[in-house]
Amino acid sequence: MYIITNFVDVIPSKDAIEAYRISGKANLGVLVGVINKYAEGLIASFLQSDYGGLNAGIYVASIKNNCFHEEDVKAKIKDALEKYREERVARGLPVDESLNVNNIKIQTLSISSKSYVVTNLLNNFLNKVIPKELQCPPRPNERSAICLDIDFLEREFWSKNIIKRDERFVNFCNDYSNLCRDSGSDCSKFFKVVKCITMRFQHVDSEQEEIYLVLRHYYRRLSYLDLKTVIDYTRSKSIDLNNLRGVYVNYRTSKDSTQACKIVSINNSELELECEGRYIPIDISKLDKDSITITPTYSISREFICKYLCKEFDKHKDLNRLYPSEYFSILENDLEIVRRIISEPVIGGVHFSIDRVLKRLEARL
Amino acid sequence: MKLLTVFKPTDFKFKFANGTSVNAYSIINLKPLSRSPIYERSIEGVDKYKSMLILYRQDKEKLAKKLLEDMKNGLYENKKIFPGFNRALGTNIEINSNSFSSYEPDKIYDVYIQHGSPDKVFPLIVLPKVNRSMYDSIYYRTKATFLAKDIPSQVVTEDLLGNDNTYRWSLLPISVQIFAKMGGIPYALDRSVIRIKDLSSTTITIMGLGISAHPLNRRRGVGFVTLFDHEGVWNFMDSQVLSMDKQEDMSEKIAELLEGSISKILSKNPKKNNILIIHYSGKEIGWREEEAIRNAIRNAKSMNKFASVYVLKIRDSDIIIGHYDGPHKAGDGTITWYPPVGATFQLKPDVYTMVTTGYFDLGKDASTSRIKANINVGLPTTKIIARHREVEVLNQEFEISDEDLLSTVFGMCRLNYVAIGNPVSKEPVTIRYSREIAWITLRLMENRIDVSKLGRVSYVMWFL
Repeated sequence: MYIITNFVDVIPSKDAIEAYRISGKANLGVLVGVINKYAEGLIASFLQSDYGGLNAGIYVASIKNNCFHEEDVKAKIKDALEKYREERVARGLPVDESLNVNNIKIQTLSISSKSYVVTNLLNNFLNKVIPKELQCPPRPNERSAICLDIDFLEREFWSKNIIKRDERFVNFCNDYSNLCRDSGSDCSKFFKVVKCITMRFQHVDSEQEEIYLVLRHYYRRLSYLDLKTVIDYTRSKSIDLNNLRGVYVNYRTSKDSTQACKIVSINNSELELECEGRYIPIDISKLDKDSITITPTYSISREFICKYLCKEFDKHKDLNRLYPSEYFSILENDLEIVRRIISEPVIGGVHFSIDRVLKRLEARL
Repeated sequence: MKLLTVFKPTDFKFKFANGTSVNAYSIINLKPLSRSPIYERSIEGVDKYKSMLILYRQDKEKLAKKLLEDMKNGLYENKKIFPGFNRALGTNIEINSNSFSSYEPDKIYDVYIQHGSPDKVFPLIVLPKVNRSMYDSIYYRTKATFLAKDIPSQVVTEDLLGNDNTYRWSLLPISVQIFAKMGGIPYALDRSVIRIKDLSSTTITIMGLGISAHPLNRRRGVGFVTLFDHEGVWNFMDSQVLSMDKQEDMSEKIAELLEGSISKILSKNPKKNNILIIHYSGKEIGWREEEAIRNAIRNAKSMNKFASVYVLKIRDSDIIIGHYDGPHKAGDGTITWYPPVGATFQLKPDVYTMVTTGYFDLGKDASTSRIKANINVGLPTTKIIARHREVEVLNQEFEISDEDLLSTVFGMCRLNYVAIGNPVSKEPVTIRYSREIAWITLRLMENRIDVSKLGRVSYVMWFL
């Protein structure tokens, strides 16, 4: 008897990677983000406390086939800090003055290519290597996820016989074409059902150190429920705008944050939101795209969507109702998609190849 | 990744007043464990109640009368499934009904209060089905209105009453919940969740600890604790409103919450060696909240009064385990590959993953096929359980193995007074009710009522 998992073996080409440990007086928690965002050819991970024989600090490694010396790394970090500073100043945000290349020490070292730190470097590498256009809108607890629509899968993988067709998805899209393809119909204006594959690297140290890629797929509905578009659509169909009263929306308060608010009144020119007890009047003609979006999480919003926008908007849930026996065969088939998209990560001069099969374990259950 | 063990539901039987069983439905024959709180004798339990009042909107009389008849006399079609509230639970409670005019919590409360003393009448309220994710729903508003007066209540939905298939199987679980909210202990585990040589001089407390954010205002949240003994017997709960944007404030308030709970635990067991096992929920929280929890555990001064303190973080996992050609089959004969519930794997030292939905075998106590599953279709779920030694208080004399610590999680997954047909819940009871506790605490706090100051509700499981 054996068990099957959603783990995939990750096999490094060498036992150790070449890396750099950064320590010093700089705010390391912020610095790691700066390196990952702005430093070209580098990837970084922050170890907050000593772990696995390594001291706390930022661990940095080159990516792809780059090869750097300590002074190159320092120069790249210096460039990254300048870009960070410029961007913060341009946005009128405070700059962390501890972030200065003179406040850091760099030390070259080699670390086990199956260590916890390397797992984190690989995870941060994923965010850099996955093409932006394939990345899913983030969800809590998902590190990296790709969203693939049926046309993309057909064009890039199925028609080229790289992998077998996902008949489950194909049949669904044949039945509910408006939910899968850009047909210009009501549902397709607001929704698209895609295959979402989440991935992250997992460090395991039960008998010996290993790194696995943990994959999961599910069928997901992407929603484009910009309120302005919904209002325009509602008007074009002569639907009473008052039906939007009580609907919950995400109101963008700044670049990075939104607030859950309720529409309390609406007419042709303006609407009023209730946000945490505050009432905010909004001029509909001045609404920016995506500044307010309907959230389908709440039942009143769902009732509105179901009644006026797309009756079948929840149908994708049926796709996710399957047994592990079927699930694992689809996942193993999809593994090749992931292998092609992230290719073979190269970190600190080591190639990490990803196996073609899911991990199976002998176990007496 | 290696298999550590498979915890089996049959190794965690339930203890009732007159015997033990693997099946919670045995409560009908074996009767509830206790009619009053075991750890708070000053609180009167089920016997304080003279009656139960079913409250319903005028136009739902037909549904309410059906519920009234069945609660009184047992399920009309099959009394073996449900013999009636009093016969099932060995109580002597009068059951009545009365209508209200509209779905307004104050109006419902007014009708309730006109029909007797809140000390003696338990409210069973029929409401429309609402999405539990709606903070403003009639469900939470009504629960909070009653709770503000220190009155736990039970809600049943009109949808449930109208669906014969689910209704017939829900009567016993509803009754068990009411029994627990009245202050009774329906059942507990027939064993200690961990193996300690000398239980006579040792007290083991299992604490659930978590933070939940306000659904509409992320800057506000609630920290909560729930306390159980080593057999899963309910002890008490407490909660505190937090400012989520101030990490230090969060830590301080949670430390206060811990201090208060610790002093209650220790005052009840002054001479014993006290062991505390904390399950903290990593659900819905970010690293700041987590850090606040860990700092609070580290900084709570009374923590070192325990002989030892163990800390487990429990969170949802994306790991999927399939039992290749496993024994479970769906109704149509399909082999599902569900893994056994309780299968636990080690990922690395102190980090484990445990299957909480999958198949199980209740052995000879099962009525039909032996192999069943606590999931109909979809993927089995697993939890990641990580031990946080850096904030533990360790003592060699009271050392507990990782397997025993994990068994506290599985044991607490066994305890379920809501879906009693499910032998293992997805989450341990210690952290399962974080949303209910948080949302009602927040709602009460908005009306300037501090849950921890209410006399009765700290000692009954009002959040079920």
